[in-house]
Amino acid sequence: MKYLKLILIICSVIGFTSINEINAQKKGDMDKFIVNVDGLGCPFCAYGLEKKIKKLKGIKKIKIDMEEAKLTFNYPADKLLTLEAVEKQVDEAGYTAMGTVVTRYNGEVEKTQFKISDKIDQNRVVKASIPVAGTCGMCQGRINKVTRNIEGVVECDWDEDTQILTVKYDKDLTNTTAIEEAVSAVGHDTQNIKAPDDVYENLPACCYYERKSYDN
Amino acid sequence: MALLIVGCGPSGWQPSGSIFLNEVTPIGMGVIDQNIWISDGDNNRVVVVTKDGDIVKTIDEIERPMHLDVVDEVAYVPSYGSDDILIMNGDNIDTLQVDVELEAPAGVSVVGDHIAIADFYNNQVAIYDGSSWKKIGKKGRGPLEFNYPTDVQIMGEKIYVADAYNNRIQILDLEGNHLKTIGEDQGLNAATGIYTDGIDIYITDFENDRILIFNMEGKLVQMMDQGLNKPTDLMIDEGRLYVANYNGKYISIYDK
Repeated sequence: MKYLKLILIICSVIGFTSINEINAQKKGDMDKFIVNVDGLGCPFCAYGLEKKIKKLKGIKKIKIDMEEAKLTFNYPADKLLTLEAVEKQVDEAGYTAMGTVVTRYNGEVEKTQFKISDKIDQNRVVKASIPVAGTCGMCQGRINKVTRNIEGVVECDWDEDTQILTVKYDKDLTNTTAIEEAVSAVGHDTQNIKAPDDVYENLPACCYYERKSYDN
Repeated sequence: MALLIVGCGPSGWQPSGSIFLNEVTPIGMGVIDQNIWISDGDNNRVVVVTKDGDIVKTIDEIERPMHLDVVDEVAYVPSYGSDDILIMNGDNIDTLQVDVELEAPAGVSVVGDHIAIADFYNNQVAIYDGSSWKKIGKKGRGPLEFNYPTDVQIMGEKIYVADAYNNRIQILDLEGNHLKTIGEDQGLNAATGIYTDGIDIYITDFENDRILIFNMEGKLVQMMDQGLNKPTDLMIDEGRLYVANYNGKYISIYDK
């Protein structure tokens, strides 16, 4: 009995070690990232995004799917690249990451999550239409993302043809001025607030909309 | 596919056909030995097709080739991805020595000893005068300022620049001095590809699916706005006008 117990312990240790070896990260293991990016309609901007993402050391090949508006690349697993770091790189390049999925080397899947504030009271939700200037699908992605991330916003959609941002929000949590401030801060003139010139100038090439004058 | 020309009398360019390219996404093009060399940006390759659209050969692993130029039997191909100008001569590929830093070269023109390069992310034009390189311009909206230039052509004593996201054409002399700006009042949205035959100046209006033709004084002489699908480049060969359609994956042909 004593020997049987010992044998069982040894087997357990060996088994545990084997499982760990299977899951262990080895040199050459790669994580696979898929980033959804809004509005990759122009090759100059799409290839530019590719150049910016390649500045993450470790990326050799990156695939851009213009029709599906996504980019795919593998990255060394031992670098522990996070979803947030990837999306930051995309956003800093002037583009808009609209969700990223990474399949880690061991099969684990991580996704970016967008949360709606649990403080929202549906009885206080109102709808507004705000004129916002933009010119392309990439503008749409940027405007929608920054609006969606404002606490109190329930849903939003900017329309390229009408140049109108339609937004539903909890009126006790935010207001149209705050929304206009947030949208203008990422480079888009609104009805009442002009975006900072330096932010506008740093937009990707295809996002240069025609600016109107402000009297103030 | 029906193509129409709007805005000009019978003396203007008229549609006469298309070359369908299947999976080739054309950005730049030129002609060598009756075949069309095409920068296939999405697929990281240069594709050589006959004027019937049959593929003669492909040159793979070229990082995002853009507006190429051809001189005699040689193709000069800007690689937007690797920041190089590649020289393709037969089966040989060399790299042009450029003594200034490029970031995403999008167009090149070679005439004799003179070379001009549209340096996209630096918002400049690189110029070689036969002895040395220099960079012209900076980001902005005034004369000699650019917003992501995508194409250039040297013709005679001038350099014609597709100042893409300023939605206009800038004309410089070979020293890089500003001579003229045209097209600003035409509502262009991404002036991506430029061509001149020394008589007129042709520009692609990428987002608006148009081609605009100006005379040398800058007056609009013809506009085509039918049957185009994200045009990126154009050229005249043996009296015919060819327009590369990036989204449509075809080349439109026009005759006079």
